[in-house]
Amino acid sequence: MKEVNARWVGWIPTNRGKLNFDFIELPDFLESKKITKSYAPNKKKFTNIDISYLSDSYGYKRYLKYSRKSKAEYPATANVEFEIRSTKIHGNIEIIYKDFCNISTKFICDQNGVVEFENIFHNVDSIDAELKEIKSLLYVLIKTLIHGDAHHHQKIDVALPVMDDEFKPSVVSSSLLDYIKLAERNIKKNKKVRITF
Amino acid sequence: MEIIALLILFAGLISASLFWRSKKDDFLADESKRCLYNFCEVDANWNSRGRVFTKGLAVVEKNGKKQFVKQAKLCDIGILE
Repeated sequence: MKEVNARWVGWIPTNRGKLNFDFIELPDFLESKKITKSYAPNKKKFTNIDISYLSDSYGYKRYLKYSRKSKAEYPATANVEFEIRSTKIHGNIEIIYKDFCNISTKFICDQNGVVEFENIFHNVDSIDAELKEIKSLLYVLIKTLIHGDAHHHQKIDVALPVMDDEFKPSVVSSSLLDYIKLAERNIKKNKKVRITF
Repeated sequence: MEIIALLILFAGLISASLFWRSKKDDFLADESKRCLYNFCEVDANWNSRGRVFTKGLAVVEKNGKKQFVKQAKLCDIGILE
């Protein structure tokens, strides 16, 4: 395995101001027969989660079977472990592209929703070119399981950024404001929308 | 008289066709082709043109070799009438 020295931070939206270990669960849309779940008093482990939803093109798969240009996209699975120590949630995450690549990292999540990742292990030549996307992908999956829902392909993943090195609340609020401005601009430009503001 | 009627009908059909083409959203047409045939792949020069996009990552086979492709897909902004 090769190691990439990287540290990045994200923020998971919290309910009632703090995260709750009991709420960590697989959302309904990720449930399948292949998944195994293990629950202990202070540990939760999910293996073989189908994370195809993290690909932007996955939703087009059903149309590709009617197309002559049909090409294969390789699905990914993930194994995730959570353990609560004191007030923090520690964990491991591994993403597996079968017969191609395994990517894993560790994370620590604070009660206020700040999640810190450190170093990435992988088994391909290099992931430098895709490092930014991989960081975001790992964060989105952890957010999905801890927050209990997912909005990929929707607003929240775009609006919530990952930051290098340290958590800066102003980066999150700026990103949310940028998103609101963009959304407002696009809504105003759309002729099918009744302008009310 | 019939010839004039046919000419008017023909001109009407041509006008309707041109009008329909002008209504087509080239941006959305390009986006759908990019996502359907090219795995939503984007290169370094890709520009969101001020729109809201999600960013993903996929593994596909190209030239007989599996590799990552960077993706971007138009995001739902909601509140349609």
